[in-house]
Amino acid sequence: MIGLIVLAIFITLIILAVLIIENNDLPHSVILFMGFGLGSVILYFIFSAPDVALTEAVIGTGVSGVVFLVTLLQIRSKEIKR
Amino acid sequence: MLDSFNQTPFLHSVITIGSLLIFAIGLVGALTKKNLFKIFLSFAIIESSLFIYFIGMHFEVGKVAPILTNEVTEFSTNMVDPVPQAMILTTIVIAIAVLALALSFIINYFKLTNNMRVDEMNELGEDR
Amino acid sequence: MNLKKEIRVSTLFVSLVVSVMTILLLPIFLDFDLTSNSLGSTLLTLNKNQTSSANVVTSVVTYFRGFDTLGEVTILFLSIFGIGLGLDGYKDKLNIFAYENELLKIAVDVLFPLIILFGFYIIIHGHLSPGGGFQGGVIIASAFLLMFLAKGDSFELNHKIISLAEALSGAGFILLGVLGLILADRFFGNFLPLGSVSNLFSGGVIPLIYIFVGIKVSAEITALVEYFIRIKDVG
Repeated sequence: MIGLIVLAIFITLIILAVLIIENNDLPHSVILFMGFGLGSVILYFIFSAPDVALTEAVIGTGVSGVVFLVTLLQIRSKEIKR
Repeated sequence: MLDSFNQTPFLHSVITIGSLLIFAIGLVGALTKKNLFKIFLSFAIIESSLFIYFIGMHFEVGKVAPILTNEVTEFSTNMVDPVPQAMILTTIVIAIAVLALALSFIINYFKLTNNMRVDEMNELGEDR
Repeated sequence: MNLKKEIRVSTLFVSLVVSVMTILLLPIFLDFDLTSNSLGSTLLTLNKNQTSSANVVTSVVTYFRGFDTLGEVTILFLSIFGIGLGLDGYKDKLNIFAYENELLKIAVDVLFPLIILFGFYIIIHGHLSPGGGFQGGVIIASAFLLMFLAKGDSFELNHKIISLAEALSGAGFILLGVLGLILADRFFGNFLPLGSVSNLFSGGVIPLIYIFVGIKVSAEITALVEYFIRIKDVG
């Protein structure tokens, strides 16, 4: 049972990784990256590592996604003004 | 037959092949894409795949988390190794700090030259 | 609907090389067998005898391997310092992150103290349940992020208080280590009385270390996000 669940989550993560690097729309890629972080949080929970799961949920999805999005805001705002 | 999916060697081979595939996908993205932002996103994917590999290889089926709860009332060797989890916890925080520093560099570069593509970076005067 | 997609020749070449490399490396990785984990079982018995914390990962991060946490705190400080060096004069108040919405403005006044209280709860209970300084510190920083999002330019952080909190907690962290060297047997040694397992006031010096780390991490991540939001236009 555990083996099949881990296999299904890994297939989802591989498809998400291909979609992230092949997308032309950059904010769409950042949101898919947050979904990738959610998949890895579920994997850490299955591997009996609750501290690492909590850290990855807060940092990998919260702070990392927000830093990427704010960088996009800085780049786009300059581009639209010119 | 479904019981053979629960054994530890099958789980270890699934984790190895999956992590290596995600690493290869991130590496292709970092080497071939021409937008600076997408290169850093690929680096973040590479780091996530390595953390999954490191924690997954130290897991064996049937072991519990290294915390005392209502069911697990004493420390025994039935617990997962706590040292790799402590190392990965520190490494996740360091990875986000280094990524933020790199992103501040590309913001400053964009504000000076208004350019986000790697193959148009020729301020040092390289003739083609 | 035209589904044609252009692929460069160099992209195909690089993918071919990377996939050949992966296929050649796979047998080496699949043959990999872990050696016996004697360090883990030794640390589990040491944790039962010497400390009274219920979370083994917390005691490994702060008590048995506190020097690595000192290195991590140094790297965080250096990266924030590097970000702050590259931006001059960010007091030009241009908060580009704000989203003017009435529902958000009313809800933030209720949510802001609740999230900070939850962050402190996770920091303090680091030795009893999954959690600790890093997780709780980032939760507190995300509460400040919510205030930036909702209030726009009318929310100003007092930078003297933030740098004072960060400096004092960093100094307190090192002071605990030096006190352990003087009063006990090693750096980050234990010199406080151990309570009984699963009490809040137990674990010796472990909750104090994590409280200092938590305050420092929260101050740094708040400053990091604020640097990114308020960048002065160049030229």
